[in-house]
Amino acid sequence: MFARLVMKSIWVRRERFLIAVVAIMLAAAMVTPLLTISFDIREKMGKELRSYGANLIILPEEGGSISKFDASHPSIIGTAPFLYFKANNIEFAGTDMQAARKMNPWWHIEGALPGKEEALPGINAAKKQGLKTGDALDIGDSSFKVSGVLDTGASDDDRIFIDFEEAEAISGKNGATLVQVSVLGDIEAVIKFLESKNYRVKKVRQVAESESALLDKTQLLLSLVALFVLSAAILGLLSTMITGVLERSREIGLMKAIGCGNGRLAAIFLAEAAIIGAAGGILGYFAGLLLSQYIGMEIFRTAVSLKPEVFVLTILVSILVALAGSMLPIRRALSIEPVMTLRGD
Amino acid sequence: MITAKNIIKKYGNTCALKNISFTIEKGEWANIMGPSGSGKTTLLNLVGCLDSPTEGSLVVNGIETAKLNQNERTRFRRENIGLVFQQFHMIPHLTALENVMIAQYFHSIEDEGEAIEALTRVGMEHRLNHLPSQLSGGEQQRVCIARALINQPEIILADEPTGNLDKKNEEAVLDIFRELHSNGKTIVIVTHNPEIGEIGDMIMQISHGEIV
Ligand SMILES: Nc1ncnc2c1ncn2[C@@H]1O[C@H](COP(=O)(O)OP(=O)(O)OP(=O)(O)O)[C@@H](O)[C@H]1O
Ligand SMILES: [Mg+2]
Repeated sequence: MFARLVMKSIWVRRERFLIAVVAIMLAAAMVTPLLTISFDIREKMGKELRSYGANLIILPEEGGSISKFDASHPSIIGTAPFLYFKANNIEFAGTDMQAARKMNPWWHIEGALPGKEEALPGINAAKKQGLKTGDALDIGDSSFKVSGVLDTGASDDDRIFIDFEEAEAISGKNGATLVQVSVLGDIEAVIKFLESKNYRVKKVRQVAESESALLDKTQLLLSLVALFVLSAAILGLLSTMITGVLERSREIGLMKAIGCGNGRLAAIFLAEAAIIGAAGGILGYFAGLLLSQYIGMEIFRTAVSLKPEVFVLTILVSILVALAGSMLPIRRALSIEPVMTLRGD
Repeated sequence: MITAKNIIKKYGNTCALKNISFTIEKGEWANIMGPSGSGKTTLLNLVGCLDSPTEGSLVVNGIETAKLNQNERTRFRRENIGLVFQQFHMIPHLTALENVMIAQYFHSIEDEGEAIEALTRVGMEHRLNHLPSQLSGGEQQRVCIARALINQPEIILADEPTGNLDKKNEEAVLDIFRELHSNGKTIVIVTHNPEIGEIGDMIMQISHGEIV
C-alpha cells in the first residue's frame, strides 16, 4: 500500500515531479565531475607523481637532437632516450624499451614489451589504427608485429612505440628528441652539471606540480559551481514540494482524519523525495560523466575511468539534497489540521 | 461511552459551543439536530477527536481526549472512531478499493479480502476499481461508510451522511446504519432530516452552541 500510495501520488503530479527531478539532475551533473576529479583524476596524477622514475627531462636545442647523451654523473641512475617522429600521419616513438619501462613504472602493458621488429601502440593509437596484439603493422618497407597495448594515462597513449634504432632508421633522424633522466641524490647539482654541457633541462616535478595546481583550481571552481547548483536545487525542490503540499492539503487532512499518523505521513513524503533524489541522481550522473570526460580530456589529457564510488556518492548526495529540500514542506504537511481542510464544500 | 462536561469551543472571539454537557451510552444512536451555524459539526468534530475543546472534559471510550495533541488524537481516532463526512471526501487518485484499504493500512495492515467484503456489505462490489470521479454521490458515500467501518470502530460519527443523497441512496445508507445499530455500535449522526431523528434513541437539539 505504501509503495502504491507513493507511486500514485507521484503519477498524478508527474509534471511537478519532473521539474524536481531536473533540479536534482543539474546538481548531480556538477557533483559527478567534482567527485571524479577527487577520486579518479587526482588518484591517477598522484600515482604518476609518487612513482615518477624520471625526474629530469633533457631536451635538445631548438630543432636539434641529442645524438650522444653524456650521462657520467654519479647521481644519475638511469636514462631513456625518446625519438618522436611521424610517418604515414601516425605518431611514433622510438625508445630503449627496457629503460623506458623502468623510468615509467605506472605504464600498464597489456601483452609484452616489444623486441626487434615489434611495436607497442599506445591505447589511443591502437584504437585509432585498429591494432591488437598479434597484428602486423607496415611502415614503409619495414613490418612490425604488435606485441601488446600500452596505457600510460598521458599523451604517449597516442603514439606507437618501437625500438630506438629502428626508429632512427625509419625516420632518417639521428639521436633523441627527448631523454628522460632518473636522479638519485642532489638534483640541483645534476641540473648544473647537465646545463654546463649545454643541455636544456626540465624538472619533471615542476610539470607535475603545475598539473596539481591546475587540479586544485579546477576542483575549487567546480566546488563553487556545485555549491550554487546544490543550493538552487534545494530551493527548487523546496518550492515545488511546498506548492505540492498546499495543493494536497485536503488530501493530507483527509488522510490524517482517517488515521494517518505523523510518522506515516512523513515517510510518504520522504519516500517521494528520495525517489526524486535517486532519479535525478542517476540522470545527473550520466550527464556529469560526459562533463567529467570532457574535463579530463581537455584539461588533464587523461580519460576518466568509471568509479563505482563516484556513482554511489552522487546518488547519495542527490538523495540528501532532495531530503534537505523537503524538510520544510514536510513540516508544513505535518502541521495541517484535518478539521480545517475538511470543512466547507 | 461518550461523556462531555462543560465543553466550550471558541474560534478566536466566536464561541461556537457554550458549556455543553451530555452523555451517550454504549450502543445508543444519538442524533444532533439544529439550525445551520448552531455548532453541530463543531461538536461532532470534538467527539471525533478531529479537534480539541477550548475548555471542559470529554471522555470517549474511557479516555480523556480534551488534552491530547494532534498526533495522539490521530492515533485515538484510528483505533476508536469511524468517520463519515457530508462531502464524502475520498482520495481522488485512488480507486474505491484502495480508498478503503488505505484506512486499513493507516490502522495496521491492509487486507484486500476484508476490504472487498466491506464494500460488498454496502453494495459496492461492482465498483471496486473505479476512481471517485467515476462514482455517483451515493456510491461515494457508501465507499466512505465501508472505509469508516473497516477497522471495526466502536463509535461511528456521521455529519449529514445523507445530505447530498437522493431518497433511494438515503434509504440504502440508513439501512447500513440500522444494521450497525443492531450490532451494538455507538452511532452519532448530525442531521436536518426529521425522519432520521425518529430512528435514533435520543436527539440533541442545539441552538447557538447550547443544548436546548
Ligand atoms: N474554523 C472556524 N473558525 C471560525 N469560526 C468557525 C470555524 N468553524 C466553525 N466556526 C463557526 O462556529 C459556528 C458553528 O459552526 P458549525 O460548522 O459547527 O455549524 P453547523 O451547526 O455544523 O452548521 P451547518 O448545519 O451549516 O453545517 C459557526 O458560527 C461557524 O461560523
Ligand atoms: Mg455542519
